[in-house]
Amino acid sequence: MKNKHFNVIAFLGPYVGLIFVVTVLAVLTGGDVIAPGNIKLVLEQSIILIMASIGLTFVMTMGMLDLSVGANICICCYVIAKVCQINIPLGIISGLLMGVLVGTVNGVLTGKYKIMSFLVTLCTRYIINGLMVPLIAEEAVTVPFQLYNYDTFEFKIILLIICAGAAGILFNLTPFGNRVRMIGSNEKAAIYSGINVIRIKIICYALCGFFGAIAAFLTAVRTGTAALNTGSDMMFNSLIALVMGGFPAKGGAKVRFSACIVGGLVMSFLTNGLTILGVDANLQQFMRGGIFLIIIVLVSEKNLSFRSWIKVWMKNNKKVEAL
Amino acid sequence: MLAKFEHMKKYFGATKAVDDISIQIEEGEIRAIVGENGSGKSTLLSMIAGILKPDEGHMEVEGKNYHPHSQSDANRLGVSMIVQEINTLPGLTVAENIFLGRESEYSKGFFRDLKKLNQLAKDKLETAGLHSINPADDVTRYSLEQRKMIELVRAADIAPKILMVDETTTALSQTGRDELYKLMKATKNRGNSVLFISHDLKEVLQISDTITVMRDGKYIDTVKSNEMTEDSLKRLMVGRELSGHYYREDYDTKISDEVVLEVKDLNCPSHFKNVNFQLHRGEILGFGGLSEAGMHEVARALYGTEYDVTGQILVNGKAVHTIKDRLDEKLGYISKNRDMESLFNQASIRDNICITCMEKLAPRFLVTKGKMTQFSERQADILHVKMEDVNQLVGALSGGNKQKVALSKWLACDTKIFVMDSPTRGIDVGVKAVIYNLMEELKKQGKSMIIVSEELLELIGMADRILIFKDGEISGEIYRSPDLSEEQLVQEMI
Amino acid sequence: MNINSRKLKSVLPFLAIVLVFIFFKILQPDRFGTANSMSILIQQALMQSILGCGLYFLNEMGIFDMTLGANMIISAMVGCRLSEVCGWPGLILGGIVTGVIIAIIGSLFMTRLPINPMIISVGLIIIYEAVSTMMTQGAYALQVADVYRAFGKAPWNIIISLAVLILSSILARYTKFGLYVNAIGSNAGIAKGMGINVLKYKSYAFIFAGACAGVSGIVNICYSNSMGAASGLSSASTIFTPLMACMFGSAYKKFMNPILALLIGNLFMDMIANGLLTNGLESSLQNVFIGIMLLVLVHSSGNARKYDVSK
Repeated sequence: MKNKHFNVIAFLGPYVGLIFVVTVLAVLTGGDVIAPGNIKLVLEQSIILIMASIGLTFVMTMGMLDLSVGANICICCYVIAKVCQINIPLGIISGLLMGVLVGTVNGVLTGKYKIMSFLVTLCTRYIINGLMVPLIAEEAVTVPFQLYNYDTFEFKIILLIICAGAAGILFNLTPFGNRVRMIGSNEKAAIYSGINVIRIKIICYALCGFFGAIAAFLTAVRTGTAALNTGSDMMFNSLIALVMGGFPAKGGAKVRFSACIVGGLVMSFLTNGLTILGVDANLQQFMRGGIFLIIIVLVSEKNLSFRSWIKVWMKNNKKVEAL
Repeated sequence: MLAKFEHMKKYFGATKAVDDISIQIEEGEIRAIVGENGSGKSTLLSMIAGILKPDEGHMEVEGKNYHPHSQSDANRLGVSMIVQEINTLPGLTVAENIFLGRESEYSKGFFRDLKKLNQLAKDKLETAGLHSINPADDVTRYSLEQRKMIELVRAADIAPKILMVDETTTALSQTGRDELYKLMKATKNRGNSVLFISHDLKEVLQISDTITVMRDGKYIDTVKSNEMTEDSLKRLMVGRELSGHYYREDYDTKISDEVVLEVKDLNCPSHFKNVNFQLHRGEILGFGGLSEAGMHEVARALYGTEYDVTGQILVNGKAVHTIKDRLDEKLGYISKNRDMESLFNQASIRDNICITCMEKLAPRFLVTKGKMTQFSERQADILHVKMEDVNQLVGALSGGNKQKVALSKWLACDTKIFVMDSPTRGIDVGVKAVIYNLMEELKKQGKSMIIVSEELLELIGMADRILIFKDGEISGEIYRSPDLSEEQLVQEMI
Repeated sequence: MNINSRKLKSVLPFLAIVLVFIFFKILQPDRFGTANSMSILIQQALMQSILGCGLYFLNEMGIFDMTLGANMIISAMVGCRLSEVCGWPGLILGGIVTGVIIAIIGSLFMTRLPINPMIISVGLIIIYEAVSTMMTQGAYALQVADVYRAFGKAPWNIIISLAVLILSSILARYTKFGLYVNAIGSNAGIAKGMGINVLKYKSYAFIFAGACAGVSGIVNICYSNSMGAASGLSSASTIFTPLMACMFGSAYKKFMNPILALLIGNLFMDMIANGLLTNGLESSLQNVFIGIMLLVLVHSSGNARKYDVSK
């Protein structure tokens, strides 16, 4: 397709980043990272992260935030573990419903009642944590053994392909996806164009909850338990993954769905490589946070150049000094 | 001579809002600036007040170079402006509003002396005859007019060398106006000068010493008030030959009796009241008036985006409540605020055009980019949008082409009733002609339009019928006729 | 509004506290409202108000700085570490200076870049929480030496809290800073036109908030003897109660000094939390209660309408 307004840097950036990260880690670890066994392991680890990021993609495209991803995974995991002890299909279904419920509550509060999304989701996260403490305070809930049957690489990768494919189609090839992007681009104009913004916001949050629940299911079959810290790192990681995948901080029409997959892979390789190198988990988080901020600052400026950002900063600083 | 402003220029895109204007102000002079809507009066004053930065021009006050960076900078240099909008801060008390930015006048060292503040403010209010205002109260407890008066007290207290007043009288009652005139006279007697904008020519002749007439951003003349009459002034303001003939030329076309839109008892507190009218099939209905007269808000109410509206809106005989209802009845709205409300500047032309008709494009739930590209290219061609291709971002287009995209968006979904708020605002002549042609074409197709405009010539040239708004009410209804003049309309407006 | 209803409105918060007290006292006459528990409750409310004061000025200008919780934790830890090296000055100065520095870093990002401040906050919190865990050096929490514990106990914590409260209430009511914060919060555009340097006063508010976070961190670490590391955004939830108190402050600023209202708000909520606790509600379920309360408060204090944009 002939397209003059194609931003090569924005398009290739994340892929180049992925290759760069993998290459650097491969060199540093003497090839350990790209050993076939390790690649399979990284892919397996990345599936949960990518799943959670898929849901977040819809929310962040609208320029909103969901900080309850981790808490949602925690409560869904608990529901799945608990109900599966009675009946496995019922357990999975009720877990998914739980995710959708959490998402819908978020969506209604922020969409309909116009409370800022970060505050709503921070509160739901807080509320869910408060509920979980008495429920699984004493000991973690374990899932029935039959569930471990799902913990195969083939099953998970197929599930991921189906989910990512469906979400990708929904995002790129349907009126719904188009509207989501347009809301992120200019919400006021979206309202004036007759888009039912409230409904779409609720659906997006519900989707985010749904994919969070699938991630919770995968977590449950992988770890076999639902504990208080289940999914606690997912909130940060999925956010950082999206940004590393080249997701613009404001969302909008320029969002590409591939961000969640590429970003998820970059994150997983980074975590894996740094762990092989023996970097402390906290230092890793520190580095991820730093990378997150740097990318946000770089991507948010119009022409992706660091110089322009410095210029803006200098200009603002001068204003302060002048007065 | 107190001040001179030479070769002032301000362009907004292709529009020359102020085009090479030079004026001089003498000491102790009250100067009125008159002209039609869009003649660049407010832009000129805004540049002098430091709110807008001139593209070109040289300004001097008291023989010294004067180039304010901001409004507060201008205040410091002795130039202050009372704007049309309310400019007091809710949540602060009356006294705090009067003294904002000048805390040192009542502070003891680091601390504010509230007693002294309130006493000082009380004195100022008393001198202005505002006995009913308590300086310690929050400004929100007072009416908009009283808040305007508080601004006057503030302006009087700063005692600027040049006081500018932008169309403030429309918001004031007679006592308020008298107070404003007193303030202007006091400024004059101090040997300072006043620059003011007003549409009320009687007031202009009564108050001012000299009058500068502007038209289409250009300087026309400066005259002495005592040599002018209302009529001669109006002739100066309007007196131009109709430039070009891109307006409609038919005058006796029969309008269908079929009512497509009916509005009954539409009310909205603080914006408009008792609005009743009918729109017929194939009719172009114009809304005219001053910008604060309520016509823009009525247009928003028709589309359902104004708050607290009571009354009934019937489209094709069906009462509509939500925006969705209006879309179902094929009513489309083009906002005055193009960049904020009409367009997605960070999205492509394709996405902008297709947004209103996604359902049509995706009969089986799926829609491909190729299909959207094809569709939007076809739509963009109708209005000859100047673009590289439909992938181009709308934000990169010129104002006129942006408006074409905004129109295409509604044309694409087969809209039958258009509500266009200031459709040609800030657009160059070429695109204007395209839009007028389109209106004629749509009218021939039996589509109805409401055009809200502050440009009277446009209404006279295009509309079958013009409703004049004044203070939130419909004050007159004028039918299309070749002899209709701007003066007739202005008469109804003020 | 006449004078009487104004007076009534300014008495209402006090009345509410008394009513809540009586309500729980009737339910649990023996367990609720004992002198000991009330003294702890008042101390807690006072200490929470320190952070509330810092939050208040930012909040009034429409900035919600989520990093303040993490700031408090790190300040406390730095103060604690420095106290091992250079004693009292290390603890106090170290804590406050760290708080200010962290707040300045935040303000550089949040006020000067055209990016949603929320995303920036999240990025900063990721880093700060990692730092807080690194500072505990593998232990669960960082402990101060027993010498300093008196600092967090009555009467010292009360004196310090009151000092911060009085300073804030003077700032809010009787200085240019408080006035300008109000003006900027009311309409930043008009305020700028009136000659107020918006960026400067925003930066001042950040610095004050940072100092408050520092003081709050020191008092808290001395009060509870230790400061645990934060992870997974838990630091952001520590400012929920101060945030709610801030909203009380804003809502009542027309009738009384906002800082007094803020303190009353804190007392009010602590009393409810304590009352629920004595009635057998688990402490973790209080989080549920606080979360819901916050949502209700934010919703009722905002006046967003149908077509307003909220992100």
